[in-house]
Amino acid sequence: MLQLESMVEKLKATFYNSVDFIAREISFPKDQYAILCYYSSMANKKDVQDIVNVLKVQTTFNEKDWDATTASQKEAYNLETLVEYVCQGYTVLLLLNSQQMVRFTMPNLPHRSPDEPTNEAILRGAHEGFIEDTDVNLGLIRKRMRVPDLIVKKVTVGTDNKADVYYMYLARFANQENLTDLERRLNNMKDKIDGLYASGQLNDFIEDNPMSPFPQIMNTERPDRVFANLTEGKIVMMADFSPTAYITPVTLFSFYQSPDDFNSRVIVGSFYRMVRVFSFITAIFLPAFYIAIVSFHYEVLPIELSKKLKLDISEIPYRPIFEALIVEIIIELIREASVRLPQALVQTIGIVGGLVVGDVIINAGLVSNMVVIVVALTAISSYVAPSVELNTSVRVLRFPFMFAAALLGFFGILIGALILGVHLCNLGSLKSPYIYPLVPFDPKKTKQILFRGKHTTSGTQPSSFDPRGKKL
Amino acid sequence: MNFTITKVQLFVMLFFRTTGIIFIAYSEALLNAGGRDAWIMFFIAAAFVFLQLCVYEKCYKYFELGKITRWIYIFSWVILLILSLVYIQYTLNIWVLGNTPNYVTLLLMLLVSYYISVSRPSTAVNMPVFIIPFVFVFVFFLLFAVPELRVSQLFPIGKSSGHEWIMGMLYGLASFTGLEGYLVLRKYVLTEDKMRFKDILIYQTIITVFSGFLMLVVKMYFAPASLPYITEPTLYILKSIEVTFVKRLDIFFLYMWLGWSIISLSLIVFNIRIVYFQKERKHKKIPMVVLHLLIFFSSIAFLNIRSVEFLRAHFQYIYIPFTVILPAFIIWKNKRRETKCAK
Amino acid sequence: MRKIIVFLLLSSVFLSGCWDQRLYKELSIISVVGVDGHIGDLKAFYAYPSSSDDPTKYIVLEGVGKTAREVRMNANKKTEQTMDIAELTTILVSEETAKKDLYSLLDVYYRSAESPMTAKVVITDGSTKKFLELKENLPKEIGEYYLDFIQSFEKSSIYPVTNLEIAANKMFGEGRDLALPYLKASGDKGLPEGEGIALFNGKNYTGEHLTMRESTFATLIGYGKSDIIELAYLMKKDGKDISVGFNAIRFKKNMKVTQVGNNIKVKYNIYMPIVMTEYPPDHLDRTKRRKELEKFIEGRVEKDIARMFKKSQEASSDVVGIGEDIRAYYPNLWKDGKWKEIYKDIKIETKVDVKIVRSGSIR
Repeated sequence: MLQLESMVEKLKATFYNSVDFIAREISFPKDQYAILCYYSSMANKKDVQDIVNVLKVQTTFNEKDWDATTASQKEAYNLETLVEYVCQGYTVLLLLNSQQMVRFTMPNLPHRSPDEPTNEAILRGAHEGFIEDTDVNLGLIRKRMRVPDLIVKKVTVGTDNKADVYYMYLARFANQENLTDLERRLNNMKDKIDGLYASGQLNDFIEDNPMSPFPQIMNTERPDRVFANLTEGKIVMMADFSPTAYITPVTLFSFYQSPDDFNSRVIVGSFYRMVRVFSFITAIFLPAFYIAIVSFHYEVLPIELSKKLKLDISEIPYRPIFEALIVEIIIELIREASVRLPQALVQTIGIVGGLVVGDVIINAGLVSNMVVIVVALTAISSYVAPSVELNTSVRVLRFPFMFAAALLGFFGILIGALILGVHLCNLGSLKSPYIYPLVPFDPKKTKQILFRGKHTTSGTQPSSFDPRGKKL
Repeated sequence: MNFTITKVQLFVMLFFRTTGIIFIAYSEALLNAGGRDAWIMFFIAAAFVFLQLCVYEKCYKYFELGKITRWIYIFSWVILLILSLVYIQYTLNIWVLGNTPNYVTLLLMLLVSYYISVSRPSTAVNMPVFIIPFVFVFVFFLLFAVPELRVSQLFPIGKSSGHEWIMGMLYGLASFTGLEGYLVLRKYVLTEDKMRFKDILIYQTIITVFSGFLMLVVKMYFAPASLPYITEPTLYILKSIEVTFVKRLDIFFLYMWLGWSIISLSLIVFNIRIVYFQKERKHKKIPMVVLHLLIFFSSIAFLNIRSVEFLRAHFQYIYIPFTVILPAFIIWKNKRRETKCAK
Repeated sequence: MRKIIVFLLLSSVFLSGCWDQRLYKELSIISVVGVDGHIGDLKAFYAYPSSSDDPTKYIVLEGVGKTAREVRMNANKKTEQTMDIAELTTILVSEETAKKDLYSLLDVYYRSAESPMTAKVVITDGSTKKFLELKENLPKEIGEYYLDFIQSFEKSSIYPVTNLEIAANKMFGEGRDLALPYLKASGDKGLPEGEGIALFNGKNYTGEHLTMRESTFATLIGYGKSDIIELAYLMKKDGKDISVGFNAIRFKKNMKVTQVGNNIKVKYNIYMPIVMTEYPPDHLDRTKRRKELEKFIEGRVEKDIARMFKKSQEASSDVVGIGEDIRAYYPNLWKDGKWKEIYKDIKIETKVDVKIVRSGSIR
């Protein structure tokens, strides 16, 4: 039998006398002595009181399962488990006489409401988003997927903070090979990682090629996107208390699909999807193309255009590549500044950066009108991609092309494009081909990159993979 | 090497391997050699090639390369690679990159080819897919030349001499060089992907229509007397077409052709790779490095107008020995051995 | 070690790179060239842009030399920037120069890959200098001006569509002779004015050119209708002058070739539905009036065509390409290398059938 007084002291000491740790003795019918311990910052006090009351009643009537409520469970006393439970925000009722403890799994962790994620806005469709609470997040998914074979599993990684990584899939569709592969990678991560601070750490461990500029895992904060991907047989990962879901395996083209496509009309949806895929090309090649033309192949321009361009650039002191770099860097600076600044000041940056700098730099004769047009168009095209991580990659990719164009003109662009092509062919997401249906070539599916079919005809919707899953 | 392809992939590869490097120039050689009836010879050659493909399809199982034949093929392909690269570089020098040192452009082109050759087989198999849209773009822009075409250039027929017929047929066949790739790659096609003669017919029709279109455009555009002076007639036509937004289509198409050609080169390298690695080898990358270095130094050494003109004059003789006689010999030999074993 | 090698390689490329770079801002775009004289004593005039912000301003640079390339090099010595001809739109060649082997003069353009094959070649009446040193200020850049000038003629089916490449093609071809736009300087202002097409025999200018109306019919018979066909005649009736103007909607020709003894007879049947654009006496709803008018137009058109063929036969320049058709469809009448001699003497007949199908918005 444990002594009440010393036990309370001991517990408090275990938790380093933290002020928000509460260990309080209460009277309990069966045992006389009981200690209720919890972090006051994480326990839902009213619910705890309710359960304690219920337990008291159940014990008084000497019921066999006196400990059982929906949120409580008894087990043998063990200090280490107790510490673990309390740290997770549970409340533990310690029964001193019978050496047992009952845990109440009802932490009250602060979280916000499931609002629409700001960086993945859509026009129509559900306006819910994931939040920093795993239960709510899983709830948001389960709400849409009312089937039992949505399997959720958990891996705990990180010795420092013991974060949980959940992964879920539909048993019907998910590819077993992908699954074992992912599990292997997660387990590998378990040993190597000290703490999971940023959920982006997952990327580096799960991706086939972390050095590639292309994201091989799709991040999203939208439950409807997760839902759609689950039905395609993909695996979704979520780190503890992170609003971001990681979807794998994905294809390049799935980054260019938005829930908007499916909510809008067939023609409209297809049109905007085409616009987006086209934007991928302009975002990477347009500045390079401009540089190649003004420094190597201006003769491709018809005379009317050529004369205009000539007027524009003949007084610029710099080479086209530096001219373009100046404007590119200004735009990147404006972007970075507007992300960091408080919302109220973003407008100011837009005006100062866009109007003042843009206008003055042209009047000063540092850069030409044409290059501002080109770079601005490129920047706009790169923001079209509905996925943040892809549009950052695309923005970075255009710099090598600009240098290649400045060195060798179209030849440089061609060589760069071929190397990019080979890289894309080599790339896989969980070893599934990254640019399916181009590679492996599936002519029938290729048109789905650009068009969304009617929902009434089956098989016309773009899905990045066969549920069966093609391997490289 | 362990990989499978679908029949669509096989045909895509074959298409780009065949049209590859030569498609901007072969029509000039063919039309000059064949005289007035050259365009008919081309279509006869295409029909012959179709029959040949059908025979290939029947007998591809017997196409097992022995030690000597393997090296004959590798050797011939390496020579083909070198000559193609010399031709590509020469054309580049003339049309766009006159001052860039040859070794820079050659190195960059071979770098791409090397990168493909050390990647997974599926990369080499699938790279041609990127070129498919450009086929349509190419044909579309050539259609702008239609108002300048004169149908009367096709007639009269039946005026070619016997010698012209022989040479014209040789050139007509040579525009399908690379057909042996079918035999090399056929056994990697998925077994559940049934190959029918209809598929071969569709493929052969597509490639005939494409190459025939290029050739007919050239035939109907140029006066026969001016053709011998023009080396890349297709580019020349594009050069004299002006569309509203682009003045010099030829420059774009030159680079399109270059990309096309580099991929075609990589497919030849892929053939070499398949044949070489049929036997298990210890090193995977070193042979490819050696191959590319060999190609690099030889093409630098041979890069001059003499070898280009030699190539133009003798290109037509490659076809018969390597795609007709040698495969026939190999198939015949293996078939006989098999029947012997069966007894 | 590996990093150092990569770094050295990269930096060497970056430092010495850009071999083929031609910075557009450092080039001067020459859009019009005029050529006078003959090989051995050649003179060329280049419209060199003189102002960086007004594209319509230019000065005329003169180059003298023995060959076409030398002329350009000499002219380039007078400028601070490199002259570049990749944006050339028009090559003006003086009459006298074109009479002696036009091809060898243009070889310099065919051989270099940079030169545009889309440039127009134009024959001028007298020296090309006065076509460049215009007294009036042009509304556009001079190259654009000449290009639009020629193209508007091509659109109204007066000139056949030509450019450098087509010109070379025709100079080598046997069945059809080259026809290039012919310009003359008009009035006291000295602005260029279209004046029919110049007739060539092989690579040489024959010295003959057609009038505007003749060249319209030469273009229509030889090349087909372009965007529009506009024609106007003066009709004399009862001592009054009546203006007759019409647009042809179609121009359909049918060619028949027969052998008459040793000679060839070519017969054209032409069907031309028209819409009236000018006819002051009105009353086109009356059949009789229409018939009368149709007959008048038929007569005038036939006359024009006959005159056109006469001129071209005298110059022995097969401008409509009768030879091409004969070679292709009547190979027994064709003799390689002898066509020009045959062409001179063949008989050409034309029968025109005009039909008024629309009267315009009044009767």
